[in-house]
Amino acid sequence: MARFDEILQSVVRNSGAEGAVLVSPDGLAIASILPEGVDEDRVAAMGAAILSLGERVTSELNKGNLEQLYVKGTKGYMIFTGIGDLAVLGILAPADAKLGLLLMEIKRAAKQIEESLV
Amino acid sequence: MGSNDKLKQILDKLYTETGASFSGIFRKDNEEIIKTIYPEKKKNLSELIKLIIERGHQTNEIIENFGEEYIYAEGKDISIFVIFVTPEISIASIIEGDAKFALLKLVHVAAAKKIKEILATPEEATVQEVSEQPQEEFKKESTEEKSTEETSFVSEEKTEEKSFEELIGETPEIVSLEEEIPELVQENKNEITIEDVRDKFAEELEALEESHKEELPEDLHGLESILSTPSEIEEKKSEEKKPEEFKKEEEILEGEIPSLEEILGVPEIAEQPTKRENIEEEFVKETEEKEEKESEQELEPIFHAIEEYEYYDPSVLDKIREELVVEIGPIGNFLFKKRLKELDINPEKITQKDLDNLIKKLLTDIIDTKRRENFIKKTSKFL
Repeated sequence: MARFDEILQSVVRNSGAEGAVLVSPDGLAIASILPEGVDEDRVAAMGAAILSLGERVTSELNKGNLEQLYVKGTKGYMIFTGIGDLAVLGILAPADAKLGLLLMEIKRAAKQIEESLV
Repeated sequence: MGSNDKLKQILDKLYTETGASFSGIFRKDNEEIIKTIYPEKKKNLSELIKLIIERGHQTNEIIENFGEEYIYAEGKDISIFVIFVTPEISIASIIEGDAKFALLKLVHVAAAKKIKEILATPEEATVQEVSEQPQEEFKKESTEEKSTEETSFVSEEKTEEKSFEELIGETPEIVSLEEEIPELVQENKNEITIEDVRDKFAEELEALEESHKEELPEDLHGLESILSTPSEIEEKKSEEKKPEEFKKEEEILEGEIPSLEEILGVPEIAEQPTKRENIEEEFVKETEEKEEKESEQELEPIFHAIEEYEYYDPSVLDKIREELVVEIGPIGNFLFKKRLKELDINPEKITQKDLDNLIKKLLTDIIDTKRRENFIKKTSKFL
């Protein structure tokens, strides 16, 4: 658990994100670093659900797994990255975040989490 | 063209430009318009997309006023793009193969803009009204609309014809010569000369001349004053103002050519031409001054126009581009170049008008209201 917290803290620190959450495939939070007022369970549930729906679309067309999904809003980004079939990494980022840097850090973190989970 | 047809057109364009295998415009409660190469999977895909749209809206429950704009999902060989046009309407596309995010976003944003324009027109049928009507009823209505359009067009034509007939009816009858001078016609059925007509109307002509006698001066001098231009009249008046003595001297000069001895011996006569020259010079000066003033007035707007063309430093374009990128992301670079090309702005000769037009154009590319306001604030110093 501490390991996951460290990884999430590293992502938030290095990318300028506002929060991060690691979610199990059934929508339960494994670890999280979220700003005040943001419900961990809701983020976890939403992340798992939306990524799952996207994967159902891809499987309908026989196109494999969905790697990443993000919702862009006026207040920022919600980025959900599938870590195989093991977990979903959710990141909350402000609107002025450097998306390139953010995606790079997410990729690094996802790799580290995958190694830890296997 | 109804709003439904326009929406279909927008979707067709989106579908073609993205190379999508599935595209749709969705309303909150019912699906709207779908285009796909998988008709057998249309229903399933449509349901899944609607659920994704719903989840997208739920982000507001997680973060207050999140303000969802779009969703982008990608796999190895597939991309999904959903854009929220309004809280009620969304556009979604599924693209197989390698898809460029920037292009997808650009095309969907453009389609969303067009849909907003359609919805903003109050005369057009709303998407809500269209979606609630079954297809058949909509067809009926469309034919009825067409028929009403046709009848209104026909009635306009009829009114035009009527007015034309009225015009014809009102024109006075052309009176023939036979009717006017029947006796002459009877006497000389083959020939009617000008003299005959003149004799006939001689009395009338005399009466006409008498009535205008006061207006028409008999002497040539009076006639000249009527025929001459105002400037010529002024010249004549100035000549008339000359003192009598001077006029007498003129007569003397015109009458005999004096010898050199006479000229030298009579200094008074020699001085007269200078006085005459002075008056002429003054008159010439006055006219020249008048002409100068008139030419200045004509040139004034040109001078003003020249003042307007003060050129800005080319770096101002970079500043505006940077502000745009801050608001809408890296795609701002592409859009900025596109608008610059569309407006045919020369970076070496940037006028105030160029900047105004550019900023107005760029504002149309920023969908979000707050970002648009930010952009206006930051670029207002250039306006």
